[in-house]
Amino acid sequence: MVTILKNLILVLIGDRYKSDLTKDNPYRGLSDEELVKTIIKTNNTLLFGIIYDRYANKVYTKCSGFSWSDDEAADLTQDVFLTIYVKMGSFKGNSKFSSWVYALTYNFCVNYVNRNKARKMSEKSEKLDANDHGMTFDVEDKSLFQMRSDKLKTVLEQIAPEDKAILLLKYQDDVPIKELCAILDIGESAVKMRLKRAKARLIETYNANS
Amino acid sequence: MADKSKNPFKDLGILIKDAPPNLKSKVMNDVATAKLIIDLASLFTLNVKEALSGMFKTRSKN
Repeated sequence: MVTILKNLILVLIGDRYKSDLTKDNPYRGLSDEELVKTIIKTNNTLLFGIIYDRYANKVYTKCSGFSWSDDEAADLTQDVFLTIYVKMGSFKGNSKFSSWVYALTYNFCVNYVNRNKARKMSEKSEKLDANDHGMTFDVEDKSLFQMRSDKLKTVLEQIAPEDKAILLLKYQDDVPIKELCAILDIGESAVKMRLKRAKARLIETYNANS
Repeated sequence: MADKSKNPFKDLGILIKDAPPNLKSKVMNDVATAKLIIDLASLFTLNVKEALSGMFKTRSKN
């Protein structure tokens, strides 16, 4: 009975979705933040299609960076968008919506990668111990920007996914530290320390590879 | 402020992959199912916040 009801609703929504969103929709001109407010207020799932259109390719590209195949990336993207919908009510507007989406994507991907415990143990056991005993060193952005992009891509695959996520948020998506504090729900000094450690590990791995 | 044109992280982000075309329908179906479950759940759960505020609210004389 529930299945029939569900299918009926999906069919109805599917038809409405085709008819509404392909036309010139007045909501398409709204900013992300306004759109999110409208979705929460009206509980209209069809408007979520506009959010999907705006972020699908970027989220899919980011998921590809954490997965081994296109199918895996597509599955991750699907789950990320469901999480975005479910957690949309918790978006307070303390940061840009795009930053919130990217942080959520990275967080989801990091959890996905870390679920593989064997890999987690083999990759982290030595590196984290060394860095947690005050062996991190300051890395200036200038020296970070001197790295070659093709090699950087390889090195990013080798460092911990948490480090990769925070570095990409800061240097690829240009999320300011204040927004990172709001999104990650930690203090400014904690964000700076995470960044510092991530940069140190990145440079360490980069130099070890050269 | 470092020169952003030299930022190698930006080079990695230039190539944006296209999401599979059938993914949108899957996502919209997921969202519709999630909404259905949330709506159905709200029928069987007690809204404590609303119930308490209703209990303590003073009715207007009109």
